[in-house]
Amino acid sequence: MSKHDILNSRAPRIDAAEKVTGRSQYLDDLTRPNMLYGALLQSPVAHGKIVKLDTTRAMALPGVVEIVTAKEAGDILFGVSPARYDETVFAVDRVRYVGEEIAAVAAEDIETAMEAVGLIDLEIEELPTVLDMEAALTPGAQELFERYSGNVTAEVFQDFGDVEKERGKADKVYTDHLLSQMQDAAFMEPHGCIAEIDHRGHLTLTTSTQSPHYVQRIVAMVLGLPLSKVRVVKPCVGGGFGPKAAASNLELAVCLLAMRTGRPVKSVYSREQVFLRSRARHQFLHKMELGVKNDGTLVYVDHHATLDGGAYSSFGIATVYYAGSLLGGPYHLPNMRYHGVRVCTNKPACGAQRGHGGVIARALLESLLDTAAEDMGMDPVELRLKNVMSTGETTCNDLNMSSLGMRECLEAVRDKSDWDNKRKDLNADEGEGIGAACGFFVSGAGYPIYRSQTWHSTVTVQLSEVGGGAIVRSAAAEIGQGSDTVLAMIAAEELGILLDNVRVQSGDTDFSVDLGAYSSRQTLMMGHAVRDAAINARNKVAEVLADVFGGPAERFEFKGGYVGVTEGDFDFEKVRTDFIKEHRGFTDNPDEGERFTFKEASRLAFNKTGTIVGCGEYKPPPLGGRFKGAAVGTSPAYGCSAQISEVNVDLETGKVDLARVAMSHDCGYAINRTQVEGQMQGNFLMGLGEALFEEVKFDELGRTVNANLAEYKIPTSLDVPPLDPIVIESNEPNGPYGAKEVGEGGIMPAIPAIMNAVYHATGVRFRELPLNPERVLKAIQSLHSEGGLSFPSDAKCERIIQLLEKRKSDQ
Amino acid sequence: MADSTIEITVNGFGEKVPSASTISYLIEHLKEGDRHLLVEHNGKFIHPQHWDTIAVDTGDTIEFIHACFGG
Repeated sequence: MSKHDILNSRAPRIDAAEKVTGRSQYLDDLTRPNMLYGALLQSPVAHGKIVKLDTTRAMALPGVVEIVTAKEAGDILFGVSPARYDETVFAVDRVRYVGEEIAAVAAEDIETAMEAVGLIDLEIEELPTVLDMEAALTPGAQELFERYSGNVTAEVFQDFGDVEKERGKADKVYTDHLLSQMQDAAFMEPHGCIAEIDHRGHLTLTTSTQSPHYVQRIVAMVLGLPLSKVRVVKPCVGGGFGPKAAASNLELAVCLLAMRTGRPVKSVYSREQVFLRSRARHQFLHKMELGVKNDGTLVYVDHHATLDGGAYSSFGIATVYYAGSLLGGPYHLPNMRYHGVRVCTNKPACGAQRGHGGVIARALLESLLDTAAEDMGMDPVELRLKNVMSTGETTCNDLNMSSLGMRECLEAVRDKSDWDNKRKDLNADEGEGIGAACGFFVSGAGYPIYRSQTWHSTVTVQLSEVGGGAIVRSAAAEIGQGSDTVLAMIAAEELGILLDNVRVQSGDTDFSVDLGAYSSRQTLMMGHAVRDAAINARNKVAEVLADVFGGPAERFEFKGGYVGVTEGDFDFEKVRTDFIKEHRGFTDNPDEGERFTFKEASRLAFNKTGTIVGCGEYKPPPLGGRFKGAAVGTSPAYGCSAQISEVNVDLETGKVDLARVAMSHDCGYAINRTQVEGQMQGNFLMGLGEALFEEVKFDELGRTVNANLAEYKIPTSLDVPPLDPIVIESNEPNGPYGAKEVGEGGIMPAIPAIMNAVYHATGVRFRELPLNPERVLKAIQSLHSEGGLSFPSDAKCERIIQLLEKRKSDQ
Repeated sequence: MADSTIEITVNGFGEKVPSASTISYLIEHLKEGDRHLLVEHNGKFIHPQHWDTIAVDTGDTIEFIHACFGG
């Protein structure tokens, strides 16, 4: 039984009814009086110098109101990390990918705006393109930026323990590589925004974003506006998964058009433009060497990674960092060395996508663990159980496992899936297989994106002045993950009122500071803030009650919409009489003999003191570490997951079907059990798509050739096997009520569990993703060929790895 | 460390530091300690094994990056 009244329940989402009945207002549902429509001119070539850009003919088209280019927008650099500001609103003199923004038109209707785009005279002198990692890293390659020598936009080196010294302790060494493809996040709702400016210069941008706060800062910085005059509002958002976590060129262009025309301007991406925008998962090439003792104890990981980041930096420096650092857990790994390099290419820029940087690295490590287990005659689950960390331990790279239910997660899926029997009984001759994997992820980032001592989350809880309800205000971004429901549940719990009496207003920079929906931070960070705010508001009411009825304030107990006392008694008859008289004619006044209601208490408090607002705020505490002057570190807490997937592989077509998946996730404490399970299932499905279907394809000119959801295949309901989510609750001390992340970590085991299952079914250890039928069939055929298992990318991967190793040795 | 100071750029802003300051000294002096710190000197990533030996000169740029900012 839960120790809370509302938390840990399966409360329906507070926005569910609106969403399923079509009443939710997404960006494209919104209009404004006198609104203009914006359309973008985007580069048709992957790399080139702009030699002519003439908007004369376009401006002359009836219905066109304004056109802006780099001339009007300026060349202020922006991006995600201030250390990597490398983008401008529009290409100034050079374009670096197909789709890069060159101009924007505002017109009376969208058709006129798009026709005007076609009338802009544009000439580009094409430059040689760099379209993959090998081309980018090859000495003498065309450089996309003067500042990024050798096309390297970020480089990370991590060295924990002593791999060289301890290498000799390993009895067995396993080496492999894994090449993935660029992904698209495939959120259902494309980006879109409306910008409007009033006569005092206050700009309001309503936009489909994950982070109103960061968008606000970038809009103000790039367009030269005071921060206090920029407001960013998030409407209902249909998914983000990372690519919407930073300001976009579209948002800046639309703001500029609104500023110059004085009218609201709206623009919404097509699905193709979503692909051209990308900021989704990089392509990764990982090479790993895993050292293991004969008894299965892990000794070291030596890891190299090359990331294809597309044309601009975006989140890339964090991506290449996390690709290494997230391997520090959840196993005891005393020695870990990592060299990661992110290169730029003439393709849409890649950024942070669910699981940020760690997903493909995890897939390779989990694959190597299975290789080791098989070679040593150990059960793969037993090998993992032998090495899992426990609560209270610290990884070699100083990540503190303040809570870690990894053992519980793994044992749960082992039992649920009937692993021991299935492992023996499934028939590989018929393409049946089962595979396991674990995962590990941060619960919020230790630092904000810009260097600052800012609070990461602030929240206010205002008690309804008429008594009985509460309004929670936060800049937190509900993007479909359920954060508004979490806010409401925590507020209701602490105030001791019914969930139905809490309203949430969120996603607005006028309300508070919240860094946004990314890095699996909102439950932990915003959760702390709203709890404190609700307690603060409740305490203000309790103080009034103590003053009126006699103290101490602590004796007043708030529960289920009523207020009682833990000791003694209090006579509220006069207060009730006054309340009823104040509400003459109302039909919902308290009944005779009914307990003292929160409605009466909060109304009394308002009448005595005025508006009651509780404030709460959170930033990660200094976590400490072994390094001198230790600062915050990677995250306040870490989530972990395990999955066991059963597959059926059609050995004649290569098609892989999932038969069943047992999944577990340690979320610390499930604020809302249904939402936690939903996130677990969603994480798995995103991983399923990346494992079996998804890859963004480019032609030899750098053009995206499958920029639509018909050809970029994502899972549908027909692909979903029975899913058995198991929630593990390890009670995270740094989390509100013990809660920590569930938004991203569950994607980590998805790909390797499938890869390991396919290996069990086919004997093929894959070095390429996704496992589409063509790839699987060719691999099976090559396994039985004279030359043995091979993949088309093997030689290229080897060349890239050599280029990376040479770069490392030149350091 | 020499008595004179030089002007360098740290994280985009001017900073006066003792001449011939090493990367390690700057990390300590500017309280940048974090095991996950990335350091770039004049746009180039500096391996931690060189932090004690590389010294800055007038006009140099240093970028201290805490790459664990999420995403």
